[in-house]
Amino acid sequence: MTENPRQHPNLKIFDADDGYIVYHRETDRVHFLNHTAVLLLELCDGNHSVPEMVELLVKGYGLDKPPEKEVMDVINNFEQEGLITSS
Amino acid sequence: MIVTNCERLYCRLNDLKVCAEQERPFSGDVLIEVPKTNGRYVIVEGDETLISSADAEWVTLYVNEMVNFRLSHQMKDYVKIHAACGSVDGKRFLLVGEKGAGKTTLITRLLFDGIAVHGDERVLVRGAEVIPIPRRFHLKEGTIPLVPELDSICKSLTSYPGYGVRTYYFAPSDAGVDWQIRWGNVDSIFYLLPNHGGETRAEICPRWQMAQNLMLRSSDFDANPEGQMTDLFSLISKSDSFVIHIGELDGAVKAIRERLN
Repeated sequence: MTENPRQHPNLKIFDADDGYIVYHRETDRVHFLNHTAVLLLELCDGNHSVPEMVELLVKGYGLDKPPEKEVMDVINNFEQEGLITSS
Repeated sequence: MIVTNCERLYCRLNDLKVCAEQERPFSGDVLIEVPKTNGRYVIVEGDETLISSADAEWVTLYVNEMVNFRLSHQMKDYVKIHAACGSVDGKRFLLVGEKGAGKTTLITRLLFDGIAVHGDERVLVRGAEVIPIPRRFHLKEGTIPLVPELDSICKSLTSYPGYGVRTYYFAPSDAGVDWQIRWGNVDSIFYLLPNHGGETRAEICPRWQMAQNLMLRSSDFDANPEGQMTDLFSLISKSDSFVIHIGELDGAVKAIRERLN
């Protein structure tokens, strides 16, 4: 994914305080996101590239090493499940 | 209503009767007639003769399933969670888990520990409230050694084939305890993971994970999935969520009491 990802418009998101439950109306599938996955989904607003998301996680969590692979895996997963589209 | 001219069958059907003080979220008329003629029971609903058998035990279970089927049709728009239900000092809890996790054994053990128990199998969800689906508890033979108080009670009950073993249809009233089936909010949800033979331990479960656990143990989302999910997650958001790795029962009882106080 080279462009800034954006949440699919047809998601119903339930806030579970410590995570999200996301119902995709078109695929009729339910996804359960922990708080890190929630943060990444929230950053999929069309304004952030994947490298920018990595940088924000490093700053936000005080990480020594940028979690590039981990973030890419999550974003790829989101894309596979249709939770995001390219903006 | 079930009508029969056979006293033996009548007594057997009473083995399955729900004798609880209950709110009735649904009502409807079902008339099943089971006349015994020439040594055979003939099951008739309306104008239709369904089946006949000489086996009173088999007929009892068949009629019971028919009634449950008619009831489940009325409940089809409600999400159902595979959960036992009880309450301590007015605080309601659910015990959720897959088949064999120990829900019925644990809820029965809790009954003899002085805790109010309402159901052992499934609850209906309406908004953030639940009500157990009224039915007697299905006690497998293997539960009796784990809850010794059941031994003398089950001697006065008739067992039936079920789940590959003999099963007793037990009601809290068989133990001299009030049985109430009502709508109510849920204060705590305990997800049971079997650790039979091992130590019991309890831990907090993140709500998003409890949502996943509950959805896997729930059914009937077809009617209105988004609205039904809203109800289910509203219930979870208003409850405390725990996982209990259930080994010895005393530990599980203690863990539940501690977290409800």
